[in-house]
Amino acid sequence: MNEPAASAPVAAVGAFRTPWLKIIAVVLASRLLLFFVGLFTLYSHGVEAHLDWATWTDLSCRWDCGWYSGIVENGYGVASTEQPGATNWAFYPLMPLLVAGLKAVFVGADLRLLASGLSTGLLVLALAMIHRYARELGNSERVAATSVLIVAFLPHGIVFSSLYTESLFLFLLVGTMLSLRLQHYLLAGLCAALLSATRSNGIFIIVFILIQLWLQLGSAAFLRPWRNPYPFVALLMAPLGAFAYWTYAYYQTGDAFAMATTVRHGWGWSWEWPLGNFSLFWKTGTDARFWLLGSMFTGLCSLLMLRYRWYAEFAFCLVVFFLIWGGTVPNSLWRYSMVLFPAWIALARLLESRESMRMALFAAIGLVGGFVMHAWALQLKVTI
Amino acid sequence: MSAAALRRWALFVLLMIWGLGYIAWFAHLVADSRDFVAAARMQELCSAERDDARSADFISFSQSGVDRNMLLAGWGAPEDWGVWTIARRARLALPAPPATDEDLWLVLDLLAPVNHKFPEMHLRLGLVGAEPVDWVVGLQRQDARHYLAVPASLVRGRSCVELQIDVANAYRPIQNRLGRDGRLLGIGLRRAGWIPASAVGPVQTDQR
Repeated sequence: MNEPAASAPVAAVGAFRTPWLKIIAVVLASRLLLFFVGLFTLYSHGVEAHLDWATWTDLSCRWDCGWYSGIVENGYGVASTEQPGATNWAFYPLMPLLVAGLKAVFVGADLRLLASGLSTGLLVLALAMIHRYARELGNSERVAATSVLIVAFLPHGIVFSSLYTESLFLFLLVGTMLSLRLQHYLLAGLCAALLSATRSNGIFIIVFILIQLWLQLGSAAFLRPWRNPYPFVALLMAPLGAFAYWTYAYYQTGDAFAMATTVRHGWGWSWEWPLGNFSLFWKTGTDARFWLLGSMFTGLCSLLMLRYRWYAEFAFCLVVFFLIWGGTVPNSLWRYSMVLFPAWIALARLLESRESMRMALFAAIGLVGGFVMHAWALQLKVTI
Repeated sequence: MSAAALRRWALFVLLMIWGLGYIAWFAHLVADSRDFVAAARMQELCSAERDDARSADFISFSQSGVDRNMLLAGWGAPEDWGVWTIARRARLALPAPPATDEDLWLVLDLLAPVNHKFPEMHLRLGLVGAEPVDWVVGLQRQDARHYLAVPASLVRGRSCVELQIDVANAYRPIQNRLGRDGRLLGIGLRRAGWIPASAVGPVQTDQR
């Protein structure tokens, strides 16, 4: 099977220049905007806040950041006192491991500040790769730049600078996809293995790898892997991270799937068919509606990938949506879906020659982003 | 065979072994893992130090009365009246009754979320180690006492027993226009306790 026409052949190394300065400027601008909205919110609600790092680190650390901080400081095995059955086994280990590594190097530094710096740095790298990825998919420079802008300014983008896994996940996701498209199979496998140690749905990258290998190698070679087994190294490496975590949990608790167990007990998570869940989420309340609509918007953008024949990326997004919409707890649906960057590249491509719609999109992003950051600063449930 | 071909075959065999290793290890993990939260609750409730928990008294599952360690899995937060199952399968740990040679009734005061749309709840109950029984709780006995026969041999020498309740037709009220509750309600439990089989005459057991 040949590479689809819409996916341009692998470009020569250096064919696409990465606009590093612009990307760094965009990241800084987006973080500053978030900071000022957060600061203004705190001021307007009578909370003492200053224009300094302490306020930034405090602002950036909400909700799950506390769980991750706990893992960095005390390791696994800590249970919530207020939420029966909730333990920190719900959180995959790579991000806390990296922060713990930084903490060992920068002794005495505030771990939330270190994590914020790490996340923001990973966001810069991820955006640079998204830019490159958009170009590899045969898009124009304008589409690549728009994709970067969309991701940088996404509502709830504060999690890209917090002790959350979003930046790391995004970085490793685009790293895997880009490496595989460039046929760096070992690197793709390494990124995929780390991805599956970052978050539970990271293991679904095997869906992308399988389909991409099939498209890249063609049916004949794909079905006869003994003729050229090297590309399949990426596939075999991908589950390593998840298996490592499962094995660790197994020896620590006797339950390899401690993550699934604790989210069932502590967060009430269970799986049902997504279609039934849509009506459940809609009726549950305003927060759930926001999460549902946000994730559905990403889902709709994902459908554009079919139009552009990005089948492997679409399949990955589909499986992720199947998992997150199948959960009976609607919390964070938007946050889980915002890292599916191929959907944003597809959206950028759709709007390439529609200037007014592009402006409308950024106006909407600004409006919703401001609202979400306001809610985040006040720790409203909608930002879980 | 050329050196390059040999290398390809060696890599292929290695990848095959790697893949089979995943499958074998995953199968082992699935087979050997147990719910660690429920296991911790069971241990807390049934440890030797908790022998005082053995009691002939009825246990209340209301917010103020319940030891949450009994609610192993599949239960909601206890409320003023008792507690709902919120999964299709719920597991409950109960302190065993004082030692006896007589067969027993496990008495359960249940509240069924029955109504015109769901006139019956279909339950399968069983103590771990015993054959489960099927009960149907309808509108007539939606808030009533129910009896499960338990042979003395099943509880003898144990500090705790585990009851498993499957509710085949659990439903979410919010999805059925029956209220704002989004949880998967199956059956409500108010109180539970043990009585000797001889203490009461023939009882309605709900068994089908």
